[in-house]
Amino acid sequence: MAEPLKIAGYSINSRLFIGTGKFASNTIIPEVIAAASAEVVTVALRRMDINFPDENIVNFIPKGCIIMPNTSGARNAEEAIRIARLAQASGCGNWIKIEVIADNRYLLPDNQETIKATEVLANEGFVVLPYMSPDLMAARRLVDAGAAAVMPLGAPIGTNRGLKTKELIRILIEEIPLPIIVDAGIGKPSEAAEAMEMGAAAVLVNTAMATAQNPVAIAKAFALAVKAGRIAFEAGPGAIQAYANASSPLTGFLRDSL
Amino acid sequence: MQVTVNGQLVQATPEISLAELVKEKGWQAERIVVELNDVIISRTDWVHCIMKQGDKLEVVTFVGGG
Repeated sequence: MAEPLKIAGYSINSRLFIGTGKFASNTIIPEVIAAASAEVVTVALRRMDINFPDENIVNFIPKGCIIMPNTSGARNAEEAIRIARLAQASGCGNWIKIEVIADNRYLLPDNQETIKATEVLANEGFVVLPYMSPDLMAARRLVDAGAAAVMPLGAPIGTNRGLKTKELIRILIEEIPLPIIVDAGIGKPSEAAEAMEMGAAAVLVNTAMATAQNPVAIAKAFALAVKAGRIAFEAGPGAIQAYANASSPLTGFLRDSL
Repeated sequence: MQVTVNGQLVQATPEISLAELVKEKGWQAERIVVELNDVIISRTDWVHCIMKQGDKLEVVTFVGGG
């Protein structure tokens, strides 16, 4: 059985984190969370629509889940810090996904501003999970800044393109002493399994579920893939060889000569 | 009296407390966070916070996001 994931003293059984954006209806979200067996769920913070004050995503997230607000919309560290403090004042806990983006075409994160925001918020007692471009030096600075985990992107947000940054993520997994959670880009369960087999601590999936024809069914498939990938990682896959190596004995053939 | 809520002018009873305003407008108290003139007001302080003409409120809530 796969080991639980430890982050900031929390013990998390499900290594599949999910986002709640872009679903056709919020009413499907409880079913998606159940099918995914997700325990960590991201949300965003926005101005309340004063004409529709009853809309609130938290009403659709089962009690017992860890709610991880993101700082989407922040273009620099200062804005991310403001959003994080607002999120904390809601009383939904002290987890925060730092997301600082100033690029509108590829939505790639600004690692430098992310490091600054991480340092301030970690010092204030937040459990900080920064979304970042997979760069070893930036990841080391996030560790020094007090991050609880590091969340490199697999591909740009919402693209469903898979693990395009695989080799860079592999380096982070090897070198960074914190959980590495692949966030963004994963489009299919097989890609989630691949990340987990490599030793990713968890994956965060949103668009792949929200844009599937059947979000609940694919959430289930992702849960199975993440679990399989983790068990495979813990099992220690065999080494890759350049040449064939027979699986059957090379003696005792049913013939007389070579 | 008028106050600005999320960039829109809103009518409010003079001397109303923030707690009363939230109730009067039907906002979900347990699901929102309020900044008054750029300062976060914790829920327990809403009752002591008396609104003034021209006050600027930001009321934020959680929405779906990844």
